[in-house]
Amino acid sequence: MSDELRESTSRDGITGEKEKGLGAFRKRVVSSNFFIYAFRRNRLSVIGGICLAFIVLMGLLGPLFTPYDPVKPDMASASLPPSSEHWMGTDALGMDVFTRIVHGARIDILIAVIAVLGATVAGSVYGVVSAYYGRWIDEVMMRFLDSMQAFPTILLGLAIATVLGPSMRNVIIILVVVNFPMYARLMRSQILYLKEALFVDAARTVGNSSLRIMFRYLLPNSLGPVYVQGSLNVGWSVLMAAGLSYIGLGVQAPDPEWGLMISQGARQMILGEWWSAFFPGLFIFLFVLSANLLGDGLQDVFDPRRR
Amino acid sequence: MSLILGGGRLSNTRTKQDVTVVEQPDSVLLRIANLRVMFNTYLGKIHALSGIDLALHRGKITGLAGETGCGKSVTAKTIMQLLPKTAMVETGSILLDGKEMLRKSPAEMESIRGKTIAMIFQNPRAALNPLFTVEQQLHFLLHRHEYLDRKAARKRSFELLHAVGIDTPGRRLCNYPFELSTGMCQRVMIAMGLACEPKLLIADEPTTGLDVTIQAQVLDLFRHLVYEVGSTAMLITHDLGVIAETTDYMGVMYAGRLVEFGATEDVIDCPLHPYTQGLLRSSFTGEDDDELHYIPGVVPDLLHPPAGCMFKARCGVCDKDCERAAPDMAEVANEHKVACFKAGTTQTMRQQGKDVTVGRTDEASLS
Amino acid sequence: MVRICYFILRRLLLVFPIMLGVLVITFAIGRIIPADPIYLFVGQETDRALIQAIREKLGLDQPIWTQFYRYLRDFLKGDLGMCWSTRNPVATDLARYLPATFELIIVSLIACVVLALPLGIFAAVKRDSLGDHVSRIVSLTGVAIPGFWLGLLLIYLFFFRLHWAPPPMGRIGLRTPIDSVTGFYLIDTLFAGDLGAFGKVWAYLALPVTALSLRKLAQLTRLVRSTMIEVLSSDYIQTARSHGLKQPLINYRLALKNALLPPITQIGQMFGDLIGGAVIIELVFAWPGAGRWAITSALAGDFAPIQAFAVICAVVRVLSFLVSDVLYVIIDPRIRY
Repeated sequence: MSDELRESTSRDGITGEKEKGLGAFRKRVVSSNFFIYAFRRNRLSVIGGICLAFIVLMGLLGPLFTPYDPVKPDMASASLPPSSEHWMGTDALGMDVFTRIVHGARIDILIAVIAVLGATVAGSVYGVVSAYYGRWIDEVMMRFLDSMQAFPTILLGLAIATVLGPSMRNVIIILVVVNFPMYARLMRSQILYLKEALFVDAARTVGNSSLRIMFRYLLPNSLGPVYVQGSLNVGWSVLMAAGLSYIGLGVQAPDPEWGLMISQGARQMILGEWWSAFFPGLFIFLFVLSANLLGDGLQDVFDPRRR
Repeated sequence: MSLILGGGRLSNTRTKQDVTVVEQPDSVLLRIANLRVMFNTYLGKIHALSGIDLALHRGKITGLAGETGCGKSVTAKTIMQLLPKTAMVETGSILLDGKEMLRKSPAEMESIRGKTIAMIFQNPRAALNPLFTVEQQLHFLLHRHEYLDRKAARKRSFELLHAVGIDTPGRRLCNYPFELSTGMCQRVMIAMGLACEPKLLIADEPTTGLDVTIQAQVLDLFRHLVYEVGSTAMLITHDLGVIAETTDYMGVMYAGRLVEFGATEDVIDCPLHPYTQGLLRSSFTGEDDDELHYIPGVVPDLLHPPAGCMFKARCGVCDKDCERAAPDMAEVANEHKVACFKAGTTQTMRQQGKDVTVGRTDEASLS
Repeated sequence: MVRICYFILRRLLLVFPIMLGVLVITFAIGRIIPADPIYLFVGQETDRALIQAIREKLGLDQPIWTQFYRYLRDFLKGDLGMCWSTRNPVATDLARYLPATFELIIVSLIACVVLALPLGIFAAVKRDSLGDHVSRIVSLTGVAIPGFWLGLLLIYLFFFRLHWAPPPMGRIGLRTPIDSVTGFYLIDTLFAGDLGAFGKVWAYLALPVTALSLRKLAQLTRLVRSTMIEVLSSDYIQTARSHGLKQPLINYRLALKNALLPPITQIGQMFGDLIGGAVIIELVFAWPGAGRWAITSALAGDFAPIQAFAVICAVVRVLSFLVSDVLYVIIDPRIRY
């Protein structure tokens, strides 16, 4: 009777007979159900993830396969519409749009990833320090963040770009500066919550120093929302980098950054040659959409409520 | 054949299912027959209710006991037709005064809810709209069913709050739910439930989450008011103490089935189903032993319900019959029904003072 | 009422430290980061004597604290510096160009709110209907579309191909004179009774507003929808249903009031975000607003306009937060101060 008891949850639903071996084990392992469940619930996120991976792959491997030169003008082939030779046409300087897009993927992805990582690290450190020391240090640090966040982000970016000058490196710096407050707040609220947790007191009584406590115990436990925020941020960073480049205060010619390509193609658009501005924007859209979908899916995974 | 509806009007347009020939006043207000409810989820089909047969006697309070997830709330929500979209009533009938509830249209149910059948919920603070005052929320209800205007509604609300034992009704009417204590919120809920003098009042875990002292007050109030208004009540709870003190009849549910039913005194004094016995042993500590009693094992998975009796995995007296088929409710004594093939055995063991689940409490068998 | 007044006062007090921080930040960006800040403030000027004069005037040879003090003092006096591209004081140019920007932003904000609320509510109430799917698609895609790209596409489609929209050459084209009193053309043309011009102003506003507001529309719709869904599955709505209250009453009064709270906060944030978006949109549509002016100055290496514009926008943003917070407190009685 007691054996029945132990295995009562893995009986065949129809015959009532005991399920033996791997079948019984699998049924009781929640994870397999979880993955199927997660996939069914988040079909869109998986699609987003695949699309994102595809674009990244294109950026990494694509340049090996493109026949045209992305930065050398070829006035003879200027402004050609999409055809079998030029899948996405050529721009005003005769460069193949598709080739430039493939090469440009690297730029935007690199900018976004480095910027988000940088903002995460900078923001996390800022947030942890602020939360851990508390009281007036926390107050001052948070007020400073308030002031930073009072600016519309693009304006802050523009101001810094004006001073530092336009370049890819500066775009990354701007993105880090503009994004880090969000992570700082996130980490801070996590830390404030965990600070009261029992295991921190336990660590302190055993003799860990403050720094060690902060980085070894508090930080790793607070990372869940950061992952979610980070993936959503990657998309937004690309938009901002493209925007800055479009204005002219970001990546400079002749680099094939997608936003810059749009501004270069803008003049053509008014004349009816839509392709040189259309395709870069399309790719920005796809990239940001995929990153957002993936981020939403991650949110479902990491959010403890997990609906 | 003459068709008589309530007030004696004749109508030929109603179908047979909505009307029953009433020869004499029926002592049963609500009759649930073979109710099967299923939920469609991503994980599969969950059989929440597997054939419930229940009868609520007019003017009496019937309790429904059982663990979390046994289907008590689902039963209540099916009566009210407040189930989520994923729920499906496979078969069954719910007859209120002879009228089939499950065939009513949503519009008809809207008129019935709050007026003919009312419900009060667990967690009264969360059950009241945080952005509207007590008066406003009562007004919506009274305006809907009794067409009272602001002034009349206010007067009636005042009386209602007084009836549920709130000392300063005037002030409380202007309060928002967050300004009231939990006990007071539950009184307001009871006031709203009884405002239109419903035929049936369902209370779903009304005292869970309240302080023990407040629990007693609220239950007293509940009992008192239900009798005064003349309603029939269904009290759902997992707390057998509440059932013992407040109800006239009680039913015990397990894994989507009703396993025992009868007059409260009968069931408490002489529980026949092994599960009921186990529950009672777990609830009533005291007497000589200070061991904590419990029923070992877990509730079966409702996604893949086992064949035969649902309780067989945790039962001390089950045998081959129990494995083959699920027992139906059978009347053992006056109005005392039980769904168990071994009811005779359990009755004898009980009389002998032996515990049905005695083979289960030793630690070795649970490693 | 008293409660709300106290709340406003307390929040207004908070504005000052934030504003101080804003000024500190712009000062730091302008004066501390660059090696020799003078070139940020003289643009293309090459006359050495003039440069030296400006250096003295701005006090760039003074210690940092003095500089900051002078900066603060000048700012509060209204002296925001000179814009070298236009040879005007920044304050003059700002006064001239700001109304155009604000008209664009305010119309976009109203469009967003007016469209997002019904869309989100409808999607939540009629879940899994066609409208719900449409709103979800809009929410997901709208956030991913770059505003400037959308602007260009709209111009191409509606101006170049269909000839429905006017050319992207500003607010009203070159042939319609407007006697501008407030700087807000919609108001000015109405007051003047010139309905033809009024219509034209709308025609010119249509595409920029669409490009600007789509992203925020998507975000707001999503928030309204998810908040409404959450509210509709709450305990107190179940109570309302158990009382047999009619669906329209439940949806549009009992649930909606609760569902409005997070969107109000987001609408307050939106105003600030729209300013950022407007800056680029103005560039795309050659809209004569403060954003375009600030950018062209920045491209010429002129820092004072961007500095002033950034500070003004920060003020506006903080005030819009305040307004949305006040609205929140009015609706939600649970907040007490």
